[in-house]
Amino acid sequence: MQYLLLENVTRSYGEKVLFKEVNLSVSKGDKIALVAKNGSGKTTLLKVISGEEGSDGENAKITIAKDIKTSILKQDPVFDPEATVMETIFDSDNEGIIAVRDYEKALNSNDEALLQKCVTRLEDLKAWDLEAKIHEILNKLLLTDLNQKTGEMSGGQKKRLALAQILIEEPDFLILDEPTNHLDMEMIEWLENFLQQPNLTIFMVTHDRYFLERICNEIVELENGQTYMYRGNYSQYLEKRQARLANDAITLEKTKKLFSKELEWMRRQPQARSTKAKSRIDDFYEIKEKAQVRLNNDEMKINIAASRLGSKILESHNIVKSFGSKKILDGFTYKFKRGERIGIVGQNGTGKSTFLKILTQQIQPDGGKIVIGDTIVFGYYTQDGLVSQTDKMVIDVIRDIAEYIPLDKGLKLSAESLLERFLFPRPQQRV
Amino acid sequence: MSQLSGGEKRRLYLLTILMKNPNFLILDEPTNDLDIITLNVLEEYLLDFPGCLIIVTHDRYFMDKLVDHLFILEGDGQIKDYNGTYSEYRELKKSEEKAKQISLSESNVQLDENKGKASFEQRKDFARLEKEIKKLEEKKAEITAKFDDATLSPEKIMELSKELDGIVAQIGEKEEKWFELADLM
Repeated sequence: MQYLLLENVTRSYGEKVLFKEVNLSVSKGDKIALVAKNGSGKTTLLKVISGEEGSDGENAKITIAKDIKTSILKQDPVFDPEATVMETIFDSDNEGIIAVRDYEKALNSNDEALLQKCVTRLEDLKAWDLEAKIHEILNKLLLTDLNQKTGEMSGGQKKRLALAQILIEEPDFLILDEPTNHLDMEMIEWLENFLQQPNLTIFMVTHDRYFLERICNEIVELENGQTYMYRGNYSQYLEKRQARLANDAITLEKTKKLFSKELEWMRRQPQARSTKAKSRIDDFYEIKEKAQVRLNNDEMKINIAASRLGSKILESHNIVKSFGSKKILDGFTYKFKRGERIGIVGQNGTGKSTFLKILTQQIQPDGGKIVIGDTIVFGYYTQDGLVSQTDKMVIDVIRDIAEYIPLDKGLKLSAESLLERFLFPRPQQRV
Repeated sequence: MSQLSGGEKRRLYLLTILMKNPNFLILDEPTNDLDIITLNVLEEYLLDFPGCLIIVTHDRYFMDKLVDHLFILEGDGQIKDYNGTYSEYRELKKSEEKAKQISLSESNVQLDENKGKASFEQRKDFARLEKEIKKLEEKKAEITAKFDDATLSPEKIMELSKELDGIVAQIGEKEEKWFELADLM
C-alpha cells in the first residue's frame, strides 16, 4: 500500500532551484531517510509534503494516503504556550489516550468512585499497555514535570515533547525532521530501537549515521536539485554514491566531447534547411545544456597542519570544583599523552562544558592545579560559535586571524583559497 | 556573515579554529548542522590529527570512529576512565544491567516454575494493583501525618484511626493479591 507519492514536485526561491521534478514514493513498511548537503532544501521538501509550503511545478502532485494516520515532527514545533505538558500529550482523539488521561486525573483527585470508573474504562479498552507505554516515552525523553507550561520550555524540551506526542499517537506513517537533534546519546539509542519496529513506516531527514545504518532500508539523496534513490542502508549508500559520482563524471566527459563536435558542425552549418538538420540543431541545444552542467560534488578539504607538540602536554593535579552544593570535579588528576583521543560522556548537568573550561583555564578551579606545556596551542570549538562577529564579511573573519595560513608539507595558502577549500566560493566570501 | 545558513556558519567557525594550527583540539558538539559528506571529511582529518583530541558529542558514530577512551562524568564530581569506544561502553552497561536482573530473579528461584504463566488479564490486574497500592500508601501517609497535629479532638482522632484501619486493610488485601500475581509474572 502506498502511503506517500510525489510526482514532478519542483520548488525554487527566485533563481535558485531547490529541487526539480522530484518523484518519490513511500509504501507501507518503508523506512526512508532523506540526506543532502546543508541548504539544499531538505526541510523545504518536508514542508512541501506537509502542505506548509506550496510547490511550483504545473504537473506537481502530492498524494498522502487518507485512511492512515500520519504524524509530522517539525524542526521547530509550536505549542499553545499556556498548555501544560500533560494537556499537550493528551490532546488527542484516540479514545485509549483519553481514557489514560482521565485515569491520571482521577489518580490525583482522591475521588475513589471516579478512579474506579476510570480503571474500568481502561480495562474495557485494554489500554493498560498504552498507559505503560506513555510513561515509558515520557520517562525516556525526560519529560517528568507534567504540569510545566510549554511556554516555559526550552527549544530542546519542546522538540522532545513533540516527539513524545507523535510516538504516543502511534501513527502508521511518521515524517520526521532531524529527530535526534536535542536528544542525548541514551535517548537516541532508545529512539533507534523504537523506530526499528517493523510496523512503522518512516520518512525522515537525519544525519545520524547509525539511524541510516540500522533503521533505514532506503536512502534518498537530494543533490543539485535532483533526487537519487539508493536501496539499502548507510554502508550501501556510500558505496553506490561513489559509483554514481564516477558514472556522472564519465557521462559528463562524453557529453562534453559530443558537444565540441556538434559545436564545430553548428559553425559550419549556420542555415538549417532540412528537417534532419533542424532536429540536429535542437539536439545541439540539449547537449549544450547537459555539457555545461557543473557537477557540484565539491567536498571540503582540510589539510591544515598542527603546530609542533613538545613532550609536556597538559597535567591536571587534584582539581576540585563545585557550584554551591553541586560537585563537578572532586580531585581529578590526569596527565594527557601525545596523540590521545578522549570522548567525554555524561548526562546533562554533570558539567561537561565546565570540565573543558577548567582544562583550558577559562574557569578557575576551587582547588588543584592545571599545568600546560609551552608548545600547546588549543583549538576550542564551543557550542556558541561565532557569536560576536555576525556583521563582518566572511573573508574578514578569516583575515582578522591571518592573511596566509601554513598547510602541511610547508605550503602556504591565502585566506581566499582557504575559504574556497571550505566551500565558500569567492562571491560568498564578500557577504 | 549574517546571510550564511546555520551549517555554513558552523563550517566557517570550524575553519577559524583549525587555521590557528592547534595541536590540542577540544570539540564541543561539532556535528550539529553539518551534513554527512562534511562530517566524513572532518572525521578523516581528525583521524590523521597528530595532536590531542577531546570530543563532546551526541553523535555516537562520530564518537565511535574517533575516540579510543572515554571520560565518564558520573555526577557528584566523579570521573571514570573507560578504555574503549562508546558503543563498547553501552554494551558493557547493558550486560551489567542484565546481570543485575538475573541475580535478582535467581534469589526467587523457588517461584520460577510458575514464571511467565500470567494471562493478559492477570498482567493488567497486576499493573492496576500496583498503582492502587501506591495510591493507598500515599493516602495512608497523608492520614498518618495528620496525627502529628496536637490540636486534634478525640473524636477526630477516632475518625482518622477508623479511616486508617480501613486503608491498611485494603492495602493488605491488595498486596496479597499482588504477591500471588507476582509469582506468575
